[in-house]
Amino acid sequence: MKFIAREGGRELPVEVLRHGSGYRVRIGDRWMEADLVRAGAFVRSLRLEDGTQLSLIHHTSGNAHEITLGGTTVHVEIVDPLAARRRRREDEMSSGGAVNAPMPGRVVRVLVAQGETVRKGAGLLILEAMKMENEIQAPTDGVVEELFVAPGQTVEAGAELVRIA
Amino acid sequence: MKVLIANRGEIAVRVIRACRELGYPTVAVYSEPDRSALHVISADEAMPVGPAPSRESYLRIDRILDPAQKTGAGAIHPGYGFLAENAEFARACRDAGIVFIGHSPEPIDAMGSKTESRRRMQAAGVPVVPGLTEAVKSFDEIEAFAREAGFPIMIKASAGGGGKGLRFVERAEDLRSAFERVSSEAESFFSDGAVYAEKFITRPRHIEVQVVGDQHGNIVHVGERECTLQRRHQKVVEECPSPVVDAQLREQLGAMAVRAAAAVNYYSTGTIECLMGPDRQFYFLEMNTRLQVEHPVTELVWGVDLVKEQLRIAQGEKLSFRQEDLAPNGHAIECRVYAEDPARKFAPSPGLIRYIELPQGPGIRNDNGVYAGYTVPVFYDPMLSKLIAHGNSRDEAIARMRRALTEYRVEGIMTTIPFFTLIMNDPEFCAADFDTGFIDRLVAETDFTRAAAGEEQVDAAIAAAAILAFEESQNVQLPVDADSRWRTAARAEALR
Repeated sequence: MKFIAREGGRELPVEVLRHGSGYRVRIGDRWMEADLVRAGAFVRSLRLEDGTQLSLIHHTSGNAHEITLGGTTVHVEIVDPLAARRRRREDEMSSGGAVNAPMPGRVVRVLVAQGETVRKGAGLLILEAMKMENEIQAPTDGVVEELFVAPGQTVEAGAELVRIA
Repeated sequence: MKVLIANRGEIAVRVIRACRELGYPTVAVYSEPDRSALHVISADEAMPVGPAPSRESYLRIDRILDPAQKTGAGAIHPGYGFLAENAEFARACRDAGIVFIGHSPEPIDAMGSKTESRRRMQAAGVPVVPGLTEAVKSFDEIEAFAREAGFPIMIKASAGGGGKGLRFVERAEDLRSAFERVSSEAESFFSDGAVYAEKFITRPRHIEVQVVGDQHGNIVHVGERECTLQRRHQKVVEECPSPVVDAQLREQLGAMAVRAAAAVNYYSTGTIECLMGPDRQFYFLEMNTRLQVEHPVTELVWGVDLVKEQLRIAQGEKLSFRQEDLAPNGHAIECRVYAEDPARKFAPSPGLIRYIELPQGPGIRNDNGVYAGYTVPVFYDPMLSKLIAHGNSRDEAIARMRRALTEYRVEGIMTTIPFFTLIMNDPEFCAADFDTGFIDRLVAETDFTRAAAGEEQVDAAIAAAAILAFEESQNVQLPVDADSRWRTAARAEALR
């Protein structure tokens, strides 16, 4: 079965085939043999053909996989080739500059107005979480195109707060 | 005696443990988002106290007393924070015929006010930071004080706060302009031009002394703790004993602390906080009339159980030890593990804990408040647990802490564990050469970004993700953009 893996801004063709009790996996043009077993609620054990065993903490949300191994975390999206083409188009069309909530919380103050020019690092709004006020800063220079939140509003992690164009 | 614990998180679990050891049934209370929190699971019974915001749940005296009466709890332990130092709550318990596991309301009142506690301590012969107790009206008074106490001094607006309206003065020639600026800031910021002055303790250490007293007038001290390492005025690493306190100084500090506690007829556990200059002169800062977060380091070194002692004292029993029974043994260090991301300026990192592995082995204690599968809520303090290491020497305690930190794994949320590893490996920390500015300097010069994954790790992760995606596609035909199995199941359920 063929997929596209999106990782670190690149796209790699991936193929998975059953092979004995495990799998043969192609990443780009390299083939590897591996098997994967469930070792706990979020824990997986990946064994490579040379016997190397890797413990992975795995979490998935839709196609997005978050995998922690050896003290680092890898974010991979596994999509079917058709969906990958659609996603590419979407990425090209979006203007970027979305500022998302890094954590769930409550908007205490909004520091900018629509149409305002901001510099990279400027405070956009204050988000309160866990008894602390956190300033959300502009990731780039630009103009505040749209404000999606108002003071007092509760937001989930990842919610779009402001769009800077 | 059934005990209700008016708190949440690790401290509620800690109190439940003490109750169990004494054979007391326990009642946990919970706000709505806390219904599956560890303290609720740990207790014998659990009752709701309201919605998420603390002021509508854990801080509501009536909502705490109500389940106490319903469950027939004869006593309430407040933990720390929330209602622990609220004299009104202690009084309400007394009025309701419920034993408040703490002190009588009176010392709380007395120690709650900084000026009142300072006055009482001075009267009891406890050294306080030299300073003017009253606001001054003229420059001459400040000048006279500076001459007597010696520079550096701080000039502060009486009504000040939040870092506004204060000046640090090192030299006599800067005194007048500093006085004028603070006076005018005080006037414009706080509409009150009153200012006062205080001696500034250079490179201070924050030392606190544990005291325990019973209702029969017995008060002992249980040594000191080193609490100098702070971030945002919040302690992050504590030690017992302090590396700069020797037996002789410990006796002086202890005697001072016992005097201070006696001055307010204190019983239960309490802490006398002091500042200590490089000259080892110490000054009373404030008294905390509660169990401290960092009490485990004292427990490990001094071989006492402070929470069980509190439970006994509250029922009128005498202290189970005398001063001469107590002696320190070895060294203990505590790290407060927070759900914060060091790589993002310690921003809160609440969320689902997917995996947690608590360190174990020789000399390790976990006062833990979370579990795998638990979602750390956004509404409360981000402290998850406390990791405490005990050894024969400070070096052994540090080595054990370092080892324990490598065993400690939390996935799903970010924690301050990497930050503690950094501290435990810092030469200045290991040499016990630090002051209250240590953490700020360390944080400023450190990049906490996690190491980027190597090529082999990325390949392994992609392979695993692809295999999982493959298995998923073989097992169940899920919609391509399904966000969770739960939601998918719920949708399927709704269509039946």
